[in-house]
Amino acid sequence: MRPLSDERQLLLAAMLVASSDDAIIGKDYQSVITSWNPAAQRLYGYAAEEVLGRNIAFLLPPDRLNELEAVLGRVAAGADAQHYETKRLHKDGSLIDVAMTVSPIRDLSGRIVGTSTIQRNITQRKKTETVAAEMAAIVDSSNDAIIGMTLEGLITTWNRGAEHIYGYTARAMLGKNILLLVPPGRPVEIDIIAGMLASSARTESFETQRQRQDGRLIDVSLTVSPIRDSDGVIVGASSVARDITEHNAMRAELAAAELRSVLAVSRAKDEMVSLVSHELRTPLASLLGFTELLYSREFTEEQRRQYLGVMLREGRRLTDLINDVLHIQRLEAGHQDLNLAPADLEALIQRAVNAAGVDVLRPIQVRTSGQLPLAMIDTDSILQVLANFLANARKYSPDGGDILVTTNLVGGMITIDVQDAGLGLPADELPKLFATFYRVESGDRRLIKGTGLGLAINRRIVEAQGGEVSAHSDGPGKGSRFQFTVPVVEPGPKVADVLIVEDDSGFGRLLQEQFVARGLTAVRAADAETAQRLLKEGMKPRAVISDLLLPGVQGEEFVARLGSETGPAVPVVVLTVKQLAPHELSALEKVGVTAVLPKEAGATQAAASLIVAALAKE
Amino acid sequence: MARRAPAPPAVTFVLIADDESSMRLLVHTTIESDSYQVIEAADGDEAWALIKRYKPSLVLLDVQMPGRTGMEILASIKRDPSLRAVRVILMTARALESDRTAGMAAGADFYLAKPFSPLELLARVQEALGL
Repeated sequence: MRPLSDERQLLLAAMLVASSDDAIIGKDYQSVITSWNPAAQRLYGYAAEEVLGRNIAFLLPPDRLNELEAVLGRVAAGADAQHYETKRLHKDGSLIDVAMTVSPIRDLSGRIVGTSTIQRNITQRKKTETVAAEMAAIVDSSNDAIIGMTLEGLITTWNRGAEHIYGYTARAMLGKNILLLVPPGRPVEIDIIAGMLASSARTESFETQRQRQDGRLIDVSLTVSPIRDSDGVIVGASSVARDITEHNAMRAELAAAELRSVLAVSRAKDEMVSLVSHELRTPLASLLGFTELLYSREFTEEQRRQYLGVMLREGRRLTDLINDVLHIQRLEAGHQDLNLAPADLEALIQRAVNAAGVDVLRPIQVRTSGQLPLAMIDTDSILQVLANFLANARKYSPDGGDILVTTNLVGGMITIDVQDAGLGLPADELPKLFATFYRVESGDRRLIKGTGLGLAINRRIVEAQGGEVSAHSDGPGKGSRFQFTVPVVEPGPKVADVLIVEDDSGFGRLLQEQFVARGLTAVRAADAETAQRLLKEGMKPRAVISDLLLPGVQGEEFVARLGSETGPAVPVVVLTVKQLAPHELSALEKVGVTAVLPKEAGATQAAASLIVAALAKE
Repeated sequence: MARRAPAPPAVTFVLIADDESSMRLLVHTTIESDSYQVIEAADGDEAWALIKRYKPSLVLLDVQMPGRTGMEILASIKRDPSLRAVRVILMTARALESDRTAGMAAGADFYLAKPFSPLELLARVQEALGL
């Protein structure tokens, strides 16, 4: 072959450069661009005439400006071509990944006069690499065991999750058969894939078991998918397993806990039945025993009276017991018929104290902390709680002593304390006191009768209304203090169309329902004191319904004072069982009562209709 | 509570141990007799003290009492050779057959479930005392 002339060689070189797929850029020793081929234009977006004569630096991202000097330095120092990957700026401002080869350009004397760079766009390759790296990182960092295998079951990939879940390292498992993990009788991934070929399913998920390196069986949730090559032919299977051993154990534990609680309830019921029958048998034994003796033998009149007295006492004890048992049964079944209404607690306490009667050895003093907010309670049952604590305080003060009732406002709750100077309680008894049928059996208490249910009933009533009970004592002989709490009415005036003053909660509720049915709101106060408080706190009812026979302040007095409290006169309807004499009726009319209705069947409708009519006239 | 009898040893004693005063009155009234002296205890510890002191011929023992329970007292009686002659009738509000079996197995002479007939109680007392 004849060697080409120099001219032809140059021409050929120029053609090669022009037709190259790689960007080829020539620069002089000051990095000024001297040549720019079409591929360079494609790579960077600049035409040759835009860049020739400019310093190459404009192609460099700001953070890579020193790269140029470093490479040039190495080339100048006589190094051969420099290969590296870096980033450059496209004309449109975007960053592109490029692979570079920088070589020195020498003149005929061998002096370096510039550099040539051959550049290739590798942005796409970089992207693919990044995605693959991310995928690998995801697979590797997954807590699930992700395994790839051939159709023969030979393991080809084994991530860190697999190492953790199965206990084998990747090195130990690559190339091994998946059967190593499958306990006898459990489905094998490759068989599943074979089955899926027929059904054209993409994945299959199910729960099964696998065996760890240490031999332990684990519950796994398994997802098996086929691996296809680029032609869509299935060449293997992937197996993703999640260890659900703990999850299953937890589920079993939950089921067991549920069963335990059902059993506990049933056991508590059994215990209750056994306790009740035991508690019933003792008074019954006295009652029947004395009956039989009186029936079969002669006794003196004095003896007869003594025995009949015992029988009466034991009969009453039986009745109390049955009532308490029924009561607690209702409370436990959640059948508390609560009728929550605002209530003036001080008036309620005073009523309980009055009902407890006079006992000169055990006088009850009430000390309240100024003006308490209204409590939101079921007055009937809280009255019972108070009565019960007061009765206990007296019962367990056999040698007498003052009983002190105090109230306090603590964080949105009113606390009520009933303190006695009686027998007191050892510290270890305090937590057990509120349990059903629990009775303290120390010598000085043995003679005091009780069903062992009173405090249990109190606890249930108070707790059902959002309060708490507690017992306190400095020890035997130092008295006891029983405390319970009740929630206060939310602050701000209570607003309603109708104020109902009625101590009978059942009747009060009927009235409320009548107004609700007529589109009016109604609030019930269980006594006049509470009603007066509601009015004072800014309730502006458009009508008032009042009973006359009320626990504290009487209805007559309440309605007489109404004018000054409601401001402009509003319709007032009195509902009462009282037979009123003409002068009593006219006295009521004089203080502004609109109508007096007898409390009888249909009274609630009549009262509601009357008030609706009166309001319509306004 | 206990009607302390004077202690000449020739007298036959019958002890009633029950924490319920109405039961003590009922049993006492039922078995009152010139043939023996009835004494009472209102709890288990008092009962055990009276048993050791008076060595009663018969103890009418409530099972559930404060202090020592009736079953504990029964076991103590059976362990003490000096109390070999003491007969025991258990009185209990626990009426299950298993309670009866346990009481008899522990060495009680008879087991009465409350409520019981006073006349039956009297018959059992006389039987136990050989009257």
